[in-house]
Amino acid sequence: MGKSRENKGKSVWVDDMDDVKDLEYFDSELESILQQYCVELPEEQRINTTIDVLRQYVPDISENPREVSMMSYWRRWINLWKIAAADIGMFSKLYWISCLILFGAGVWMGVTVQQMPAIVVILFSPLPFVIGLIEVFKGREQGVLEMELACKVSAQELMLSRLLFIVMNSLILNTCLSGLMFLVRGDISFWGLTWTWFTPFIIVASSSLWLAMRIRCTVSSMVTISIWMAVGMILLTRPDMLTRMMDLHILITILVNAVAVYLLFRQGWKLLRNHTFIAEGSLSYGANDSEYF
Amino acid sequence: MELTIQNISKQFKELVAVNQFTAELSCGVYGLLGPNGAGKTTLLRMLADILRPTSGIIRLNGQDIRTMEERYRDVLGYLPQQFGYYRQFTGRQFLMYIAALKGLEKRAAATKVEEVLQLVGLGYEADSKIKSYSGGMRQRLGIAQALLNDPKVLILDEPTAGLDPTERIRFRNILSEMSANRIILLSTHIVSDIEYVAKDVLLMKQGYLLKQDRLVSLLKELKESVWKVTVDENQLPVLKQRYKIVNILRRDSGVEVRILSPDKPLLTAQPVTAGLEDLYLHYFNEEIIR
Repeated sequence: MGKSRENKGKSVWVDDMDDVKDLEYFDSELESILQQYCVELPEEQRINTTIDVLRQYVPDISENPREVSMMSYWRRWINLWKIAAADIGMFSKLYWISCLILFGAGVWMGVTVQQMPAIVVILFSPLPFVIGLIEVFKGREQGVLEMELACKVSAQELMLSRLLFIVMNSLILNTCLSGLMFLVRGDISFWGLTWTWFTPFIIVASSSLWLAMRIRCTVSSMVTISIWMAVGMILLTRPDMLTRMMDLHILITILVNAVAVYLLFRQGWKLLRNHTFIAEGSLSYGANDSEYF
Repeated sequence: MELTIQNISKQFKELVAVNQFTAELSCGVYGLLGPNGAGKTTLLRMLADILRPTSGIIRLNGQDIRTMEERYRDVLGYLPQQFGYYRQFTGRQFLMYIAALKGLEKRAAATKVEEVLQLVGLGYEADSKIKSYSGGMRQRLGIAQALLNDPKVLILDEPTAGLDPTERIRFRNILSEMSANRIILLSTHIVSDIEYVAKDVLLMKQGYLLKQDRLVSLLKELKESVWKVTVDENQLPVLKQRYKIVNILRRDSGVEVRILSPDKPLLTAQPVTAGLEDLYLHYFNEEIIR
């Protein structure tokens, strides 16, 4: 038969011509047999479709799921701010004008009214937020929400980004107002003034958001502003009440603030849940579902 | 591209708005036809992924649209029945706003906005406030926003409501041109909209899918069932009592009546070719809106 094989164990050489012919024959025979089972390549589109279908089952490649979760959290957070930044231009002129007027009036009153500058910041602090809520809910109020829900940037992201923006804008305006009063007057503490407006701001913000999610926002804003003005009148005529409120124990104030912040976050979370799908009452302020068809 | 609706149901408390609806849609225009309260809008909202079905599943190319999320919205164009708008916006601003929500880059959005404005014939009024638009113009703006992301799945709920005949014809032509590589689902009870453009017709009643077929096949069912006859005015009440009347036309020679009946209603009655209006009346037994 054949010659001995060189370098046994490393490489194998078949020198026998008969063996080679047999192998060639076998190869060609095998090829002709396999030809019957020739599988055509699927079209490009079908391959892509299969990949798309299977994509949902592909797990996130990561050794640290917590890291992924944090990254996703930050990405979403950054994304929200990006949406907010892009959306600022879409805010109504009325909102900006109202904010400017309120700020101007706040500065003027804070500087000129000699007694109790705190009452000025207390009264003005929640108003930009309350007016801003009209912008947050304008999609729902003007019947655009259904269209917004069907877009890539969801309505919930849009509303949350607007909410974040009006909170930030209110905080900046109020801080600036306190800062200006501190600089001009010199007889008041900046941090004391900031602490003074933060509590009513957060309480009114959370309760006005709660109300806006239940009734038409323009109405809820008007109601909140009216109530707040009435409270302001009481405080102006009864300065002793304000003094008593400001003398509350720091722990009580912290507790009240914590509850109000919690309620604000809770309302924000509810806002997200309620506006994922229209069935949850986002189109008609929680009215009966049967209206939706 | 294939959109599969599999046993979709939607229940609102006691009311079942959509019941075990199953259909398969591929590229082309589909007409969803049904009377008011048939569940068309609910079905379309589920297809637009803005209403959660009580049961069933919707798949695009085999993939559940709920797991697709953004990727589904990326290929979706939706015009709701009630088109809302921001009053202080101009047409162009509104479209730019929706384009931003659809994730289009600013420069690409500006080009696309201009393109769709021209397509729906709103180019000349693009910079006017929407509140100054007529009903038809607003509807055209609604159609334009649905086309912004060049959608592969286009869902239109009563898109021709408020459009004048010229605008409706223009709209139908736009749909026909676009239908080659997209799934277009058009809900209406204006039958003539569907008659000219729809590849398939889906008949819906009380939440159920009654039929899905080619228009020609559906009309074949009504062969020898639609009649035209001219009668005297005094014969009309009797005919109205006995048969489904599709149309009444008063002429000098008498009253020409179009009747839907499996049997020949009068000796002088002549069979005529059935249309979609006859089909609508046959299935839904309601007055037709032309």
